[in-house]
Amino acid sequence: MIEARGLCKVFQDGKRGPVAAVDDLSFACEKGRIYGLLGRNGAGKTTTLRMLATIFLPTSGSATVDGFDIVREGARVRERIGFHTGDTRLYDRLSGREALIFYGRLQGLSRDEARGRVETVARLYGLAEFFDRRVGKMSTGQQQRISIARVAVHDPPVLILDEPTVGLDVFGAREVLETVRRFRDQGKCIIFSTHIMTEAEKLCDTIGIVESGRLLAEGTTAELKDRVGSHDLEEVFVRLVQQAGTVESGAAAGRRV
Amino acid sequence: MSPKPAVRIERLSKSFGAFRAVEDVSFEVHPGEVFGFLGPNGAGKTTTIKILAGLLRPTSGRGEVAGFDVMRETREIKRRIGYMSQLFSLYADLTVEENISFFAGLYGVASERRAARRDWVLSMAGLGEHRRRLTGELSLGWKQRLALGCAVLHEPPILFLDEPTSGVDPISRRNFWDLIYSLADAGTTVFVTTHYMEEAEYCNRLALMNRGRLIALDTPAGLRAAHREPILEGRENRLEMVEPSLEDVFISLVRDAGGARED
Repeated sequence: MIEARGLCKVFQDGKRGPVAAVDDLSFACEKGRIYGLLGRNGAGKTTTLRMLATIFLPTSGSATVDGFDIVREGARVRERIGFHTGDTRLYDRLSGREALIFYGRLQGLSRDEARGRVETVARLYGLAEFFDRRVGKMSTGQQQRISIARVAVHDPPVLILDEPTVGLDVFGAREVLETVRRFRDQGKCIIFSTHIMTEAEKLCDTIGIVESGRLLAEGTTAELKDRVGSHDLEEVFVRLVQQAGTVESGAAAGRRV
Repeated sequence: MSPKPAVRIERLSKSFGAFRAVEDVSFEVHPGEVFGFLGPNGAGKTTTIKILAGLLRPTSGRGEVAGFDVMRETREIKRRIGYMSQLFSLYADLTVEENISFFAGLYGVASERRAARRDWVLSMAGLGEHRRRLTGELSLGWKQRLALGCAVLHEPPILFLDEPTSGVDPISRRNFWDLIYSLADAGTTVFVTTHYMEEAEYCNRLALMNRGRLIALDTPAGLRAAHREPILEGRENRLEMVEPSLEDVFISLVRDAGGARED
């Protein structure tokens, strides 16, 4: 479903010159699976997800999403993904229903299609209780559930979720994780990033750890734990990243090239 | 005689019109303690912190912070507390050093103390080499340490941290907690809110709020032990007492107290 081969993204930094935020990254995720992309702040996760979502073009390398090339077939790729980031905002003055219909229309659904899909999504993800409330009047957790449901309105086979539980309390986070599980059970292919290792552990079929734009380790939770010899995924993460020896650089992002 | 509590509140309540944000809450925080303040969104945590920081007047009840009254002596309180939120409130277009000078001025750090305090923050946060970098260029973990340094420039005995590690990676989070512990070891009382149960485990004691009320107050181990449950274990189906995770305890306590407030 998603296959990245040798993805690179180089940014020009005024002081440091060219900096590789993502450096020869390859990984794959099948349908009905959740791939957890973990890494420190500035490791290159978000840049990677943005390339897959066709927001950035890769400097070199390539990726396909549901068989379509992210560089040459961007429009096709965008039809097939739902992309959620912490920056995603909803209009405060729309109700939950209106917000989702608006988004469905943006995705090219007809008015009737959008209405129909939105009702299905509301039923599947349990939004009925607050669906007609204005977004601005909802709790943070409810807003986040609308925001996550938004990515599924056009029923894309691939979902890219960048830290979807940031700022949520225990209940809000559990509901989001439950929704993501349902997406998986419907056969969607999901890339999920988080800094909360217990979430990654509960949810992800495969975990990839990124450091300085490179894939440092990949495997199931059990495989990674075995490799490091610890039962605690956070400990595994910390040790693998520290072994890479790039931690105390203090750099905001990337590798100088 | 035990030392005076850093924070003491008694039957504290705050209403906004008909809405009871905080209702009849009492607790004490000991000096030098790392005190975790937990609860779902809307439980009344931020309102309580605002009262303790002298920013909101309670509707009823009493409270003291560093020995000063939250009704009448808010100016005294503000001088004795540090506050850091998840938004950090640093200026991205100032250098590290400039941010430190700015906050030193804001907090009224005496001019003869400023150089020493600046150097202390730079070394505590490990930012010595980066003192002339623009704050906006720093990674999130470094910004977080700088924000913590700025919040304690005036050496407050009590530090309030409101979700200080939201969105921060595990390595930066560990470094941050090392700093919190070193401040607590030096006698600072740390009052911290978080949604991460891994972090709640690091606190000396936890207060759990729901619907404006205090529903539990104990050590993390105490909370887990009180919620041990018998489950059938092993081939012989023997009953074994299993200690739940802190997240399970949190969820069952909130559910027993009527569930989280949804609006």
